[in-house]
Amino acid sequence: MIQNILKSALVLSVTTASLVAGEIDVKVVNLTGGSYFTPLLVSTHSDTKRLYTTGSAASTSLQKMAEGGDIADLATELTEDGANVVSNPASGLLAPGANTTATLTTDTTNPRLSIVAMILPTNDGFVALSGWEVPTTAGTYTVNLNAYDAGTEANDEVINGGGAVGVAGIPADPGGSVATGGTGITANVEGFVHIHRGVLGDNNDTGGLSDLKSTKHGWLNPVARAIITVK
Amino acid sequence: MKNLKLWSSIVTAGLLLTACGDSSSVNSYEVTVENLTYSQPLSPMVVSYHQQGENLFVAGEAVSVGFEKLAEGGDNSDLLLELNANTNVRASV
Repeated sequence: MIQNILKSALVLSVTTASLVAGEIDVKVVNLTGGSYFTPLLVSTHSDTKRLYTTGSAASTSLQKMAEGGDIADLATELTEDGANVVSNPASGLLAPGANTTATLTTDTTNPRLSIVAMILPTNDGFVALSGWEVPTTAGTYTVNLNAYDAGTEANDEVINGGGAVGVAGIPADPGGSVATGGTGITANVEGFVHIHRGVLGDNNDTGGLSDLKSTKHGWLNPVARAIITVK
Repeated sequence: MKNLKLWSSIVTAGLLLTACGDSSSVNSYEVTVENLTYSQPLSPMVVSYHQQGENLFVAGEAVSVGFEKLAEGGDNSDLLLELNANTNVRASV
């Protein structure tokens, strides 16, 4: 009888563990051989907030990032939603093979992690982690990140300085490509966010269809690795 | 691209409860598969619920004839027959 009462008391005294505010380090590694990431946007945010939905059209904020590397509108969007945001942890481009680390907090209102950056040189390709649920147990977690196509610009693979919304073409190759004269792989704008089909390129430095070099600018997924340390 | 929602009803008696020697119970799972590509359709798929070690394929090893027919021609019927003949596996479309 007394044992039963004690058992009940134990059951009543158990409370649900809540997610208290915690700190995480997010290290992002560029796994590609010849492609750069423009300023990264790293954020812990709500359960429901997402920067894009695969299969759906990209927002203008996402388009600005994917086509020209401009993360300002996405950062504003997240901040207004109550998210924790770190903009540009690498202070500029993240080169092939390089890594950078951002430190953020998670809490009950911001339990998920998202990361985006434009992949350069591409038309509107971006690397992303979307709404990853941050573990509550301390430790180190590794996630591979894929490349997505924003679907807002044709993948013509022409380097012409075009990075603004509505302007076709690739802004630049930070790796110093000297290829020119590409007439364009395609003029088709896909219309929705999807897994990037990669770079076709060619080996014609003065003509051909593409200004990207198939031997230098190609990649397969994953294009990045995120190592998250939950403290 | 389209989302496919798949129902599989699974009888777990033979799979998980042999140690308990208990009567069977049924669990249902809803599996949503999203095609992330731009324009690459996927042929009719196979979704399988199975014991650890009963993999559909092992990288580095040859696949079954049923699996080959699915991969080369999009025909999942023989793979489904193979899987459902295995008592450690339940498979469905």
